Amino acid sequence: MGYAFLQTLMMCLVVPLGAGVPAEGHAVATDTLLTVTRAEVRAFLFDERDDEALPEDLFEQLEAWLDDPLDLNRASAHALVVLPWLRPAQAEAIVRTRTTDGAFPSVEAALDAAGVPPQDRAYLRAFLRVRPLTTGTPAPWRLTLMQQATRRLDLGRGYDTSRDGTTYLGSPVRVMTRLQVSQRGRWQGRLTLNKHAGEPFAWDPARQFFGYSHVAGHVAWQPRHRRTTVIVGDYQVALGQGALLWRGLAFGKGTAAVDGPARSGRGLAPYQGTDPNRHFRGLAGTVAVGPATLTAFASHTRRDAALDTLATPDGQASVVLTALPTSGRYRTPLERERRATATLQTAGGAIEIGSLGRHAGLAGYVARFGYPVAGSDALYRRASFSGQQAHGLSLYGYYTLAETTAGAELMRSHTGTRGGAAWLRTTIGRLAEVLWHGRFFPVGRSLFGNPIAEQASGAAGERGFYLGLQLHPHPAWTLAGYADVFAMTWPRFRADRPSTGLDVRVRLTHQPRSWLRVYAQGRSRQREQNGAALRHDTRPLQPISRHDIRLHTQYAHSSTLRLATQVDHVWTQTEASSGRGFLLSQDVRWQLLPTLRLDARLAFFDADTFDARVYAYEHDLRYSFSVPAFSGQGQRRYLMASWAPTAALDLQIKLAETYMPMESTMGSGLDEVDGNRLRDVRVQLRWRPLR
Amino acid sequence: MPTAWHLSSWRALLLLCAGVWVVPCVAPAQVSLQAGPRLMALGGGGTAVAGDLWGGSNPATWAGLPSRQLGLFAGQAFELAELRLGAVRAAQPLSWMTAVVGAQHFGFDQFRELQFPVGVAREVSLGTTRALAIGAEARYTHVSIPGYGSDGAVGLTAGAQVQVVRTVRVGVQAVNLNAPTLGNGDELPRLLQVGLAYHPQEAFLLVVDAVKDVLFPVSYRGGVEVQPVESLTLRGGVATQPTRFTAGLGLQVSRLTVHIAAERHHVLGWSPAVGLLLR
Repeated sequence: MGYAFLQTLMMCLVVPLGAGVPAEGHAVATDTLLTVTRAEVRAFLFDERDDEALPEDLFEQLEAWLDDPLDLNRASAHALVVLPWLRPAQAEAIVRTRTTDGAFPSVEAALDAAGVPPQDRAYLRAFLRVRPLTTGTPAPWRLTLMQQATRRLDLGRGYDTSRDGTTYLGSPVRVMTRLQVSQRGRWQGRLTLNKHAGEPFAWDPARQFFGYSHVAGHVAWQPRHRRTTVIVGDYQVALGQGALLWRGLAFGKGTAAVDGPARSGRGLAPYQGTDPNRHFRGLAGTVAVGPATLTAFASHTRRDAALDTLATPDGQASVVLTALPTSGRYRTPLERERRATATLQTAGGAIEIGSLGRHAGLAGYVARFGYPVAGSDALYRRASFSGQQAHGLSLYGYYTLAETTAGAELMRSHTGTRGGAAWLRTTIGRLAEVLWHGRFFPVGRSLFGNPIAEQASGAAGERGFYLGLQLHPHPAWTLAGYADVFAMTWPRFRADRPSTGLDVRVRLTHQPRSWLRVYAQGRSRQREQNGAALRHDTRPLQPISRHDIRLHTQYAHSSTLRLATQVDHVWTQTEASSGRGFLLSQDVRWQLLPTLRLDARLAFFDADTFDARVYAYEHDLRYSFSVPAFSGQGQRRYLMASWAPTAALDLQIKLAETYMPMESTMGSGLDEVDGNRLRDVRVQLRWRPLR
Repeated sequence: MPTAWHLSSWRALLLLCAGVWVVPCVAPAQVSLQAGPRLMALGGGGTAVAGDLWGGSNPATWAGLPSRQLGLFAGQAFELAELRLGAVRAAQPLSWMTAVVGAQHFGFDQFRELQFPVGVAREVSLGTTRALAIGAEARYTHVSIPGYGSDGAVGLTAGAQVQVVRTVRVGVQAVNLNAPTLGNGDELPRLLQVGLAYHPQEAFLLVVDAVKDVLFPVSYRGGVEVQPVESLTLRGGVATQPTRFTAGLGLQVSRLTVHIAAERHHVLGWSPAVGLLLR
């Protein structure tokens, strides 16, 4: 009954809006345009990704672009093409037009020259700007200082020092300090200091504790009008399709159905995040030599690892790495013991020949651990990396012909196995875009690879075929979706045999007015995992599925008030059980004063199993990101105030509460809390004396 | 609220069973009676309906009241005398807002609930050509149970409505935002409800709503209102969790409007209600 009513609700909401469109010339107040905010960009790109799977550096990079949009009158095509909605051919068209016709007077003029369709512009505008070309004026220097502190008010038992057993060593406050100096389009320097909740301030340089538990930084020279980059410090590398080398910004399967999987690596980039295990550290550079672009990097990092001592056949003791944890948390004695215990030296490079729209490249790396990595007995991990040295080589290319582009990469891993990915995207005028994407990855994957894949842990032993479509039958309507069929050729976690799966998503977006946007989305995911059987070796795989539908309405009443409503329904089915999840949320954004903005949400959720949990993106502090998952029965609400008394200073405070009336405890492990509510407070101060 | 009552009659047992759906202070999300005489007949939703004196589904609706109004309402859940509801509301449009006061009685001598709502609503434009209706209500709820004592609490409710396009109005209401409690910490129900009203012609209205109580599954509600002749309005509706059907009519004679509504629960039976509205 409930499902039938939801269908009715969707039909009632979507259909009448179109029917009710008045004739042209309807008076529209110009201050009510539903321009895309940075929060909406985030929500669009990171829809339905939980916090654990979210690479923080990706989000930080996005924020950096939003803070300092690319200047269409100066940026190189290579700099422009990193934006997820701008294709290489369009970036080249912008540069070509700029060269022949002079500077662009507006962002729209540049997007017109590039032929960017209207539906992509809403999100692109947030990342772009134009500044007049002036000669002899040096780019201004920018200085930003930021201090963030977050704390959970209801503390878990890990902070109860009166109890027996393991407890956290530090305070429950997360502290992050950041200093950034840059000269637009030339120099950039950044220092980030971070301490997670539960971590103590301690000085132990041997373990890389410098008061804060993680220190990241870099100095980069990265002129936007040339493809030259030099980075000293922490950096990331992304090449080709990511089959061999991809540490950094990555958009996967998502609501950008024809953009996410169609990759073209951006090369070197300074590392923007705080995760100690997601970057290289050392020296890296890219230089253009005629039609060729050369990239080289050398890195020496200390990885977190669990050490063990094994006896060799000749009776000697040998140290091995038995685990390479990537949590980046150092709250307990065990976590701190594993901090920076293994060295990893990496050197690599690439050569690319051709233009941005048509190029071919060859990339490779060698890497060596200080101690050998031991293999695992777990079936699904037997194909994981083991040994002391790894290397890989890949060949990749990108080609544009009229309205069709294609990209491909073929890689060879250190085990000798081969794999790769290829895609082809074609545009049918302004009506449609279609993307075909295929992948085949061997069991022995690259140590630094991160291609489009179903498995968050990496594309090891996976092949798949992806078909994406974006259709614009009417200026007010957009249909986007994909179907991804995949097969795991090797056991994985909770699947002791090769398995198959399917992931389908469709989103219908309707924007009948400039101030109103509605979308309905459906997603269905099916895969296989171990069934319940008496004998382990006869355990068959059983299909599990998750289906969800969402209705989202966004309304901009004025330039000062926005409302958004969302309804989610989730159904899950496994061999043993089924589950249902639901979420209803109401958001309000109110620009109360020119210097003060309030963001508030009230959400009710109801999910009877963990598998049926519902994800809900929510506004957070600048440079932070939150997509909490809700299971059980309860309410989530938050209020965030953003105050900018001067152009150089802004302060954000967020108070949030999750309330679950039927529970006596919340959380798990050391984060388990007695009671039925979790509250936290988050504060961030940003000062920009030079802007 | 206490979890057990000293009632000896069979009616007390039935009352306990039905209370989950009926007693307004326990779960107003689960009963259409609380919505008032007009919206009850539309399935109990109507979050986006403008100009309804009762405001049971959204205090912002008062911003659309064109004139001073006085209303009386009486209903009986599942034909049980112990589950009678009687209420009065008065609204007075002022220069910059509309003010509403009321009183409501529910129950019988073994369980008595009194409510006194006070609310305001107004329209704001914030510099645009469209108006946003906002409303707020403070409702004092007092429950008394012989042998257990009595207690009261004030709950705050807020709502908003906006005409997004010419034919479509949407609304949202959050009930008991301040999480009021009675007695030993039992909370008054927290609700979030959103709704849509499709009004393509003067004589036709379609409403669809989703109502979520933090303790209960989401309830979807829908209703249709048609006006075949100027003085007669016919209504019908349906709701889930639990499944109910509703029907009703409105008769307008000069400044007086009579609303008759009934709800049918497939196990608990009929809940009739009548309301008088004087403009």
